[in-house]
Amino acid sequence: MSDFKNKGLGVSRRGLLGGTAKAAALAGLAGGSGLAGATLATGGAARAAEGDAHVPPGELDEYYVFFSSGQTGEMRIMGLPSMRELMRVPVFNRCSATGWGDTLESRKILTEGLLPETREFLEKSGGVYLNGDLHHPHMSFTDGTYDGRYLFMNDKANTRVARVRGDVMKCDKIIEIPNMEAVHGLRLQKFPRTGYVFANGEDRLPLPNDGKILDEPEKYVGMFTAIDGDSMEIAWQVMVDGNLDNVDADYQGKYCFSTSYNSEGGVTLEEMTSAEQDHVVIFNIARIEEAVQSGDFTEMHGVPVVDGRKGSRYTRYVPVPTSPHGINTAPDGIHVVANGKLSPTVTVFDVRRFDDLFDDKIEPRGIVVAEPELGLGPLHTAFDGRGNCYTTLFLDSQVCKWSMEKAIEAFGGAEVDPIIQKLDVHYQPGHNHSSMGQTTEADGKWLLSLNKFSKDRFLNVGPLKPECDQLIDISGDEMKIMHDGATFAEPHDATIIHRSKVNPVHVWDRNDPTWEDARQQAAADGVDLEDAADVIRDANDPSKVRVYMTSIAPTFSLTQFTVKQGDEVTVYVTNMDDVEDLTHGFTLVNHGVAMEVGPHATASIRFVADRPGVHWFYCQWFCHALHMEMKGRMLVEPRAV
Amino acid sequence: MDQDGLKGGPRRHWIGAALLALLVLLQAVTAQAQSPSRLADFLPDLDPAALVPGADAFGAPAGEPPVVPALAGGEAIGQVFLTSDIVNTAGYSGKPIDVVVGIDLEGTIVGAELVEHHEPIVLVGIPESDMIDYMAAFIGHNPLRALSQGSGQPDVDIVSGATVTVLVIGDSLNRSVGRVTRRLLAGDAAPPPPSERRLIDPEAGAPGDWESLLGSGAVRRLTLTVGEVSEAFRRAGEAKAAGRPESKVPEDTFIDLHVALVSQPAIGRSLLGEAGYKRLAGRLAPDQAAVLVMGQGRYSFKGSGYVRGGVFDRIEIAQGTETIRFRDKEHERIGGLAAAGAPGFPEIALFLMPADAEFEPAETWTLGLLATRATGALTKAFHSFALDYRLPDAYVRIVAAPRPEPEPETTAAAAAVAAAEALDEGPALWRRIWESKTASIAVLIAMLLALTAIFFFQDLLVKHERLYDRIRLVYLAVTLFWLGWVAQAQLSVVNVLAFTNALRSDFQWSYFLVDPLIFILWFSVAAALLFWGRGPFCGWLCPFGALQELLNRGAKLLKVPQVTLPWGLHERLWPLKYMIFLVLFGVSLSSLALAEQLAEVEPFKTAIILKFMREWWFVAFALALLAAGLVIERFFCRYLCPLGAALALPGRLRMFDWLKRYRECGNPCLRCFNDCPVGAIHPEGQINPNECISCLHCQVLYHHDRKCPVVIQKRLKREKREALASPSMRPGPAQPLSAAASPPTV
Repeated sequence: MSDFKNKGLGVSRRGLLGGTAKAAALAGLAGGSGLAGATLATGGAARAAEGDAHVPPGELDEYYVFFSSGQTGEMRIMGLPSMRELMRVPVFNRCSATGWGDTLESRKILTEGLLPETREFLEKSGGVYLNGDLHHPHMSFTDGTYDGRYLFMNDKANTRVARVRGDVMKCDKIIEIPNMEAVHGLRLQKFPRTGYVFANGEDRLPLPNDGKILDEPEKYVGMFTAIDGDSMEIAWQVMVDGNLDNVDADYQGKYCFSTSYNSEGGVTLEEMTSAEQDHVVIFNIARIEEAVQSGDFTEMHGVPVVDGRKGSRYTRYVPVPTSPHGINTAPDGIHVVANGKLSPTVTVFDVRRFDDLFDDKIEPRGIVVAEPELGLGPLHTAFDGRGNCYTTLFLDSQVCKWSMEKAIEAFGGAEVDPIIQKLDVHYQPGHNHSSMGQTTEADGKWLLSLNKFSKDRFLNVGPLKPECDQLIDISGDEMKIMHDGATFAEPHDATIIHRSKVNPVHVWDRNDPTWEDARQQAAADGVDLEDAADVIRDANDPSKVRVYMTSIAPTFSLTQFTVKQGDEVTVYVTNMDDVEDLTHGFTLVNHGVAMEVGPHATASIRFVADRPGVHWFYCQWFCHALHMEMKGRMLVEPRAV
Repeated sequence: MDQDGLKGGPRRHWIGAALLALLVLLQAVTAQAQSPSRLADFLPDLDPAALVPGADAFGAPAGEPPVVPALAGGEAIGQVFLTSDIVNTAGYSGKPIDVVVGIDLEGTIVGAELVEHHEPIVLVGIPESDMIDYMAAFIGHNPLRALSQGSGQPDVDIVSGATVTVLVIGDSLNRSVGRVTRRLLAGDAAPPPPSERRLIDPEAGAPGDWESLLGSGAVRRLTLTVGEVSEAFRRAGEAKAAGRPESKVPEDTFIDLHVALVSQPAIGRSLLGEAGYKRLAGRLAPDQAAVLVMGQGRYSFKGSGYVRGGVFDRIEIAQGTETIRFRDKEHERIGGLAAAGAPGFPEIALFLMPADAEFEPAETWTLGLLATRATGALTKAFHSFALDYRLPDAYVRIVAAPRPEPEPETTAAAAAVAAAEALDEGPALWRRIWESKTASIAVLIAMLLALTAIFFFQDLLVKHERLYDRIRLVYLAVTLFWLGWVAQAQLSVVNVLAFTNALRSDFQWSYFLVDPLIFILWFSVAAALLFWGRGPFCGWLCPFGALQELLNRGAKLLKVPQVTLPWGLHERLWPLKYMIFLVLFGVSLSSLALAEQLAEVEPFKTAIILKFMREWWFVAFALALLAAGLVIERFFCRYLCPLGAALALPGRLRMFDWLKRYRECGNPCLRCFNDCPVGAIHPEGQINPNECISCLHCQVLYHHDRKCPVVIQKRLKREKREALASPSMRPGPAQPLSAAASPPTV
């Protein structure tokens, strides 16, 4: 801390990493009785307070939480503070329940945004990716707060970004990002609206990545991507130095910024952590847009790529201690906190100084206004809107509550201790998130700590154990753990949104574009989807058969249909039940065919009827007292010998 | 002569330098080759004085695992060893934290250096210097004394965030020093082993309820209030920590901690229930203990920090100098207690004793609780509280303790010490050794008698050149093959050094009686020295000498050209061996161990004891000497052998001079001067007793009527006389005169 202050950029590793008693004593810690040690939260205290987080049966939660699921590939919706899981939305994964990945509608979404070479690559393995690594779900903004339109999320595994519609809570767009590999950080433009979806390309690549350049890491480049959230097309990309980690945007719509590790350009752990400092890269959105307008870019994969490597007028590289991780904009719209990870510090920037930085009126470190030491392994910071910050300390297995104001005073030389409280969490927290904490409407009620290990916190379920997501009450002076939530692999991030911001529909609109292909095919076949009971053999290709039916509990409009062995069969089911919350399904036994058909939705699925004989299909989504009887037969005539 | 001197000077200098370099090299390689422990890898880079103040050198490693004496002027003033050799020092990384420790003769830690570790914690914010500062607090700490005085580990600032790393360092210092000190002081200052052992009686007791367990002492309890802990911090001078209580109410329970030994079946069944105990018993290895720790209150005995390295850093079990810390794999969380009336502890942890722990569960042990309070962003204060546990007598059976088996010692020095110690207890051992080696002793005595006979009847024998040659050849072969390679009775300068060393300290016959052959050899060599000088040993009883001579004979048979050094050079190379001996002797005064290493300049160990089965550099050295011996007979004996030098000095005292000379020897005849296999005869004719190996070659010549000009003259006179007499009186066929009269050649 004092190193920065006294020596400007002369950052010494010793000073940064000096986690000693002496070093901390120098930091000027006043003995505050409010710092209540690392208290035990497993005991009676938490139990007694449980009532506060308890949502009685029949009552609604106050908040939605949109959880990522990491390598499971889906988005999860939970209610907070009850921490009840409300829904799972398949996105990058293949879902047995809903047929996501098998229905024609989902396959269209899963494939239309892929690069041509990826489509070609996947043809050999069933046409779609079956896995994804969903890290960061974030809701679209208007004027600095959530607007309920969309949720955007990234797939680190296969370099994709997906959009989930806020009205039906279904994924409607997935695009693959060219010119980079592994999307890690993903955040949205907060003002005036989303707007841009900012995606960090984590790993550096040679461009084009066609095998001509292989083991020459010095020729690799990092990539930052801005996607138009409305069209889900890539607006522009910026070539950068280093590996981009996390990203956030300001509340003015002018800048976004990414933490960046591996400024060394290494390819091994030793190489990536050898330098004493890495960077936060700040992107000047207006200047980049101008460059795209004026043609100062290279087109790669049809995307304008602006060169924002060091020395460019589009970016600024601000030195911070090595390997920073999370970056979070405070609800005050002024401060941005970059979390040190390998340094026990967090670095606070003042966005009001960014204009001067880009105009070269101040040095890069001139935007730093605080750099408090918090503990070991600071990863992410959340805010309560009252000037307090909550930083997860991965190595210490703690959450540190600290005062932004005091941290700034301490940076200015005042003898104040910015730390207010440290709370043990169980165990090793990664992301955290406060209620509405990423908007101007941060309300300071709840904090979620997404802990990477549960160890002994739950009944043992074998060697593979759940993560432990802890709910912490931050409304008072002291943080209190209210709930331990076991979660399966592996929520990385969560967004807590007040229920007033999220207003999904109850029933699909029959005009929804999701099944536009089905609508057009039915029109071509002269079939009315909403009143269908038809089997159409394609005039041009007689081996193709389309089966149209509706479902009204407890019957399908077709109780049997006949095809020939080897026919390519497409089944279209339209759920015409006029009751809210009545989802049907279509499962064809012994064919691996199953799909969800939502209220007033049309869903379709395609398979080859290659097994002669009688095969039953049934509704797998409970719908009626006679649900068991809601079934029919597919009769497959053997192929003529 | 001058010319020789000019030529010889720089060459000698070069040889000296090469020898010195060789010695240094030998010392370096032996240090590495002798010890499999990694201590040897670290020692070359360490300053002896930094580990044991005042020390100037390291001695030879002793024992297994090795402990190296720190020497000051040759005197051991402390010991140095690697903690990882003695105890498990695995830290966060699971890899050892290697600390080289110096202790003084009383077992007080006087130095410690962190030589290697792989702790990732340094990567994330703890500089190595903090660990070094931490270790510095152990300087002056004597684990055994602390144990006897009941004080624990030194009061040390624990490095925040690196808690486990430094605790492992602290434990390993304490435990390894304890173990090493006990080993070094064995039988001496260490407390006598208890005459009886308390063991868990698996049959004892019956399952009981919570109250009875608590009442009987099967469950022990420690209760602390927040106020008490604050007070403890305050007394320890940790005002900041004292001012940061876990609760604003001082009467609040800080911790209500309970502990029980649940590997005792009755206690285990009571607390874990039948099924729970059965499951535990199934996991326990024979004699493995398990303890149950239960806690409630504001403070968790587990905390959340243990997940980082998997080591529970808030509790430990201590017994004697052993400290046992649990890893997460040895931990199982228990949902609730089976015993009726047991409180609903929010934290119940079952810990299995790690496999490598030296733990006597039925003896008294202590559960240590480390209270931690954050004092700043990265700083914490620590205070430890102890909960003693002694398994109640009702669960114990008492057995007489067996004598502890001595730790296996492998090095020769340690074996000798062990033998010496054993000898102190009575004569039985050395007598048994002598009895077991009767046959060898008999053969050796026969050899010595034969040699004595050869010397006594030398005048007779040397007249029969061929017979004498055969006898000598056989004798040398026996010396090499039996005495050397079979019986391993090769004397060495090390014996001389050890002997003089023993004379200066506490001389004990028993030490030297352990090896009968060496003892007898020395005895006879001592006698022969007084009678005839070094010759009987060097020329007859030294296996390496025999090897050189036999090889040289073979070389001569194969017509390998022989080199004769100019006399002036030859004479000036003689002193080399004395220099080597004096250096060794001088070193032995300060460090016998170092002198022993330097004595590797003798290839005896390589060539005779180990029969060339050794690292290549030793073998190469021995072979190089033997190769030199092929062209210069007994090259090693002549110029380098420190043992020969050592024997030559007292050899001056010899009483008898049975080697006969003529007046004409050297004046003008140079026959013997030229023929002496070791060049011990001066051109002036006198035999240099310091160099003479008593091969009696010159005596054969002395009597040879075809080689010695004096005898030839006599013979010629006689023959002339006889020629004048009747031919029938002639003793044998006449030799052609020309052959006998030809000048001696080499």
